[in-house]
Amino acid sequence: MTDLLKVQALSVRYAGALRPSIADVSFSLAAGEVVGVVGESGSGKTTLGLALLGLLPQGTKVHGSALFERAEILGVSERELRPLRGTLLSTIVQNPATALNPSFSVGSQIVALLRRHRTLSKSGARSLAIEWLDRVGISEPEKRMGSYSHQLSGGMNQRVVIAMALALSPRLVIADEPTSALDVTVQAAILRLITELIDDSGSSMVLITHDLGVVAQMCSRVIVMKDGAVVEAGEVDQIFHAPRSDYTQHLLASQPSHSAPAKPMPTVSASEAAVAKSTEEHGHG
Amino acid sequence: MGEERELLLRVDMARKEYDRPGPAGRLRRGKKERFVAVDDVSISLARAETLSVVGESGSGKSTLGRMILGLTDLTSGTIEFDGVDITHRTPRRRRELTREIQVVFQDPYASIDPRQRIEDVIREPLDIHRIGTPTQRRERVLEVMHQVALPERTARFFPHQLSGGLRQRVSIATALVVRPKLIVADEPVSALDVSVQAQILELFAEVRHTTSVSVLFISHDLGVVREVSDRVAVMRHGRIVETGPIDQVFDHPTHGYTAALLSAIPPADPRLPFHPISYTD
Repeated sequence: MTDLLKVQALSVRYAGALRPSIADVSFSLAAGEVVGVVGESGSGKTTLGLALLGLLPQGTKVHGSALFERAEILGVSERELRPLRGTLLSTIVQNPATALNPSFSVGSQIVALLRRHRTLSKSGARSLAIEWLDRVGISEPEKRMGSYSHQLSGGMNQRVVIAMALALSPRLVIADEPTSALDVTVQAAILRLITELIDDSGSSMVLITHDLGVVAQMCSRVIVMKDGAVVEAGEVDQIFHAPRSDYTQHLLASQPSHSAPAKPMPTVSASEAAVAKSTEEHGHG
Repeated sequence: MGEERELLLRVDMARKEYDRPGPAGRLRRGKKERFVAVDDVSISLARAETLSVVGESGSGKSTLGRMILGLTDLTSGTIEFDGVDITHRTPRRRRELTREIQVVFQDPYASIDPRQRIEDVIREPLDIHRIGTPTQRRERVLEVMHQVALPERTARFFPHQLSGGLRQRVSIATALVVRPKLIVADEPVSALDVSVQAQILELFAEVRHTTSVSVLFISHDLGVVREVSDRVAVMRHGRIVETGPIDQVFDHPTHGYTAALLSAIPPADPRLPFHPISYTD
């Protein structure tokens, strides 16, 4: 299998930052594959997603390479990147309320997206938009076309965002915490929806999340990140059942387990003590 | 567990109604809707017991906590604490109660005064309630810092010098310092990374085993409550749909919604099946 995406030695340093946010990250992704990027806050997982989407702020220093269908997408101009977005490369973000424009109906936003990238008549785009709202499980899709995001629940808004992310059949979807803002029962429905749509379209996905449960159920491979570096990467079964890195083991041990009887949990550990230590070093300002 | 323990808190038919603008929007007058946030809820809590209240957004779990804390009035119903009716509190009674009922909030960045050193943050409740001499207060602060595993050197730190996990330890120390009878903890681990979350849960489990304080642990996350609770109450749309000993509710849920909630948590193991049950009423 040839790689759909091949990231090599990617490093990102934000303007004015003393240290890179991610350093020397390499991984690849085959067509149709779902890879999880898991890590805690500050691990660099979101920066990785933004770098691949070309959405880092100006002045950010980016090194390394990211080949998407053998074409370099790092350091490429906005103008070259724009036709790629949506059609080849798409994103689902955590907070649907900020991903949607509050001043336009959800229907008009989907129509605008479709007509920007496809030669479609107004009515053609409208019927395709209605079809997509239906596919993502929104009832009365014709009526909902005229709804504004504040009139819809968080789960409904995320369904609209997913429709927009997948409407142009992208080859690669980068989803950054797509269900973290949702209630757990809604999350379960949205995860199922994403899986079905990704399977149907044959798209690949990079799923960025802090939730090991989501990774275990959604991904075939996992990349574990900490402090901007990849600490471990492998098949999902290996990561969960034979983790090689201490950090991965620590993360797994920290996972609250609702289905197992009460188990002893890790006590105050090196990591938190280290935080206290480093705050002390930076402290006394 | 818990059957023989002395009763500390009894909430009886607590109800909270709000007015909210109807579907037509706030501009059309007289079209207000009555919204029932908490719908005749009854719970009781024994001394040294931890009761978790779990539910999704809009379930009324936080409003219930705020009513117990005296931060929200009841529309109807009563709250009895330590044998006394505290549904309506005089300013004096309210002040006394702040010593007996303490709170830990979700966001340790917003709930700690950024201008005070950690030792002053933790000591403040002792100052307010005039408990002990200055020396005794200092000793008590160190004692409680030790109890929550806050390194002694952090006493002179300002809050911004601490990580989220250590800040939440400060919040818990501040709640414990006056030896309250009840702590209401509203989503105390929801803002924390998973490895830090495990450590704070461990601390709650330790508090449960080593002190006689009762804890009302409010959470949206069923996954986190098991290790810290004796009993659990599951809320939905302002009502308690199921309550019982924690293991019984987790292993043999009797209400369809509880079963749906449990099944919706994706297991952190690729070999375990994930078959969310949907629930509609």
